[in-house]
Amino acid sequence: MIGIENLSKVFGETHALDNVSLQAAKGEMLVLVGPSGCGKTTCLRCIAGLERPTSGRIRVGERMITAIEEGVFLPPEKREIGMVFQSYAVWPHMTVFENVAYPLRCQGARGDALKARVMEALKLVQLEALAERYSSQISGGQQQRVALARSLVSAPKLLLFDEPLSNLDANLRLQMRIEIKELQRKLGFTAVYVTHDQTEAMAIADRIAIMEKGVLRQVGTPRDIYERPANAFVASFMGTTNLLEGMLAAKDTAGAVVTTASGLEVRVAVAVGAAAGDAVRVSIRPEALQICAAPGGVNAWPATLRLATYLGESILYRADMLGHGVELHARPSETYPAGSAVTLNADPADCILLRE
Amino acid sequence: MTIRLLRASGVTPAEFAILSSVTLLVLWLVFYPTLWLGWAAFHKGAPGDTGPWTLDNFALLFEGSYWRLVGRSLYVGVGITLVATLIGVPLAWLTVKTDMPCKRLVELSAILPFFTSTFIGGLAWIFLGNPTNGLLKLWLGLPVNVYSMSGIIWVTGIYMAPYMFLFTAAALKNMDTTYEEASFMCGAGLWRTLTRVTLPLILPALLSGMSLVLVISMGIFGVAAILGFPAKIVLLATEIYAKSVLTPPNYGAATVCGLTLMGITAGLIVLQRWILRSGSYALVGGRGFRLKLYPLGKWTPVALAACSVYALLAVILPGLVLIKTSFQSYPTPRFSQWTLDNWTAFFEKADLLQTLLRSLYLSTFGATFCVVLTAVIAYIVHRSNVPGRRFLEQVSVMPIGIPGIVMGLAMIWAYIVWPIWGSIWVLVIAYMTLFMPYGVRALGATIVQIHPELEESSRVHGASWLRTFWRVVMPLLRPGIYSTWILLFIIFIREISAAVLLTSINTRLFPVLIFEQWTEGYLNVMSAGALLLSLIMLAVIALFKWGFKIDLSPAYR
Repeated sequence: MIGIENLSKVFGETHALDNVSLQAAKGEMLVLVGPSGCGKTTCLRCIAGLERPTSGRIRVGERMITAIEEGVFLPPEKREIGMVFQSYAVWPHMTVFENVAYPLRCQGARGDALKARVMEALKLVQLEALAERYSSQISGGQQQRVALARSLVSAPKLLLFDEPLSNLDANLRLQMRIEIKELQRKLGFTAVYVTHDQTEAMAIADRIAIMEKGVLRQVGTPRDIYERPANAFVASFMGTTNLLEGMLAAKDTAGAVVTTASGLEVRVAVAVGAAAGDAVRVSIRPEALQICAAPGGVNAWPATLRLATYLGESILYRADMLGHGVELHARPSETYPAGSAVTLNADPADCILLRE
Repeated sequence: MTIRLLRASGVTPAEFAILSSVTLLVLWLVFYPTLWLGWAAFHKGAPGDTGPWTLDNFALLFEGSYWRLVGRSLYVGVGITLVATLIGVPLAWLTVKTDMPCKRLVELSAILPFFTSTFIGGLAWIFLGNPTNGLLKLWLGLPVNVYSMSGIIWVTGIYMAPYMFLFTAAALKNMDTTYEEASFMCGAGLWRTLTRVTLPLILPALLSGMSLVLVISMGIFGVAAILGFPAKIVLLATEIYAKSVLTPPNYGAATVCGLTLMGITAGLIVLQRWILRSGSYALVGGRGFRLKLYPLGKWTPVALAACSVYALLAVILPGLVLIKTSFQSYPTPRFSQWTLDNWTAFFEKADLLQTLLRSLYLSTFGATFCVVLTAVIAYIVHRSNVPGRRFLEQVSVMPIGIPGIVMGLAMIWAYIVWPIWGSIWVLVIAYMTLFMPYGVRALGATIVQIHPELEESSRVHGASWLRTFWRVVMPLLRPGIYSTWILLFIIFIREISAAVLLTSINTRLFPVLIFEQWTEGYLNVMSAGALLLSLIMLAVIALFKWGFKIDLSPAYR
């Protein structure tokens, strides 16, 4: 549906986008996520035509909308793409109805047909009753819905979302997240969605593309990304994790063993592409580390519990494991005083080998 | 009651003394002369020598010619506003929103006329556009005649365009770009986006600018006199002058004209507030993305040409023609008759030099007093929570609706029996009153940008209100104060409308001197004077901008 090839954007000395290539299939929700300044918004604005990339091509369906090398750069209004802005950009001098009618008026729609389509779009976002209000008379969440209806009304094949939920309060954010997802299922549009919030990305995405400093670091389903991060950046950006640095000591049929500088041995189940002697890192999620009663066995390490934080559904312990500070989640019933000597254990399948 | 209110808002007696004395001073400055004007309308006789109550002065209102005069003044005012808008708004859009090259030059040419004056521009245009030996006629064969209604409208319009430029540019810069981006994403092209989104969004700012320009234009004296009198075109502002100065003076009629003019300008301001009362939507900014510049493409040369024409007509041609004439012994299209006499006159004749020094003196001290007063007003209005601060603000910006010449007339009535009459102080008081609104606005805009917690932190750590003002607020305000001072200095030194009725031989100011040179027909000496005044203003700006590295933008934003 949408294809981005070798997209680059240079601002002066900085590479806001560095040779980014991405695809999204029809009806897919592709989420661009990353810390601020990673280039995700620039990427979105290049798709919209609001920013002119330095090089690269962008195709929507069969239509080439940007191909800098060939001199193709359609202005935003010719791209037939819907967009929801972070500030909503609901025009304050127009009513809700007029805001939503605007794209249709641009296409020359008039009269009853226009009215019917606007009301249909407003119905989708449950705003029929507020059609005659001005933006100053409705709440932020409602403005968000107006922006959504406005981007949907002309039934574009592709919708762009630029951090649409970041100005809403937490509860509303959760609710809108679900509504956007449902609308997408119902209407079948393709969407590119930018956010800096990794939980939001996980919840809403069909596939996630993680960016850092203008470079695409990993693309995959939320599960892929969380369970099989390709590198340390992705592992620590998507959720929290414990990273242990070490060297690949030996490979065998059951995976490999990594030894850290302090002598900790970690067995990992998958070690594709790494050879003995490589400098590697191992990512172990806090929920993968368990406190077990008896020492001994595979991946059982002696540790000292330092600090306990009661979180309700679990207890977060900070522990010292042969000089490595780690975090782990334990059941609320597993209460230990600070300073307790315990054994920590993790399944080799949950210990992810990272090569960079 | 009052005491309790004050206690509640945490004001100490010392602070109360400052607040109340400032409020009384402002009330005095604004209402004392204007109430005198109202009183004078109902009395016979001249200022200082008034007779019994009468309604005779209002006989004027029953003459058809009087209403034609009012209509003519309105027509000229509206015309000037339209010219200024049609020039200023496109220039602002081109400089703020497009990728036009040479923006700084265009901006300079749009701001320079703001820092000189319509009066000087008008003087230059006499040489360019007079119907007998104007250069545009003799050199280019253009049938131009500045001694006409359209002449007044055109010349004043091009020099009022900077106001519209500044208002529009500020509004465009403050507007969240995503409003326009959203329009493009909806499939709207440039024209639709401009007319349906951009213009409606900046409309409140545009209307504010237009009403300010209209109010100023209605009260403009200098251009209206030098371009209107030769063609016997009289407007309200010049009629007030004629009625008070020409023999025999008719102060009663002048006063009624003055009240009419003030009624119109005050009415316009009320109208503007009323129109904008509901339409004032705060333009919520999104994230500060770089302003997206619209590519002009093949239109770039057209845009540049339009900007150059404006620069040529407003700055370059008038400047060059003044320079040329100031070095010639009589007005001539030829390049001969060179002389230095016009220039040396200003330094050799004691009274000319003294007039120049007096103007500098008045502007320096006047601007200083005015900045101090308006800083305190702006601080009280925006930072204290004393009851009545809104009222203080309302009163302090009222003089925006008082045309200079009307103020001059009112000052005559109000102060003629005072011992300061005939001294420079009458002018200082008049100027401070007239231009207080500029200071209150400019400094208010600076103050609201200072986070209140900076002051609260000072109070919490043991400093009094006064100490906080002096040690925290003033230093933070400094850039705003400097630029406001320069703005006021420039306005004071070039002001002619208020001065023309108030100057005697001992208090003559430089712009009035230039006007007198015009009256007496010494056009070449006048050119030198106008240039000298412009050079002084430019020198002050240059000194502050490059010498003291002061950002001048807060003053006119």
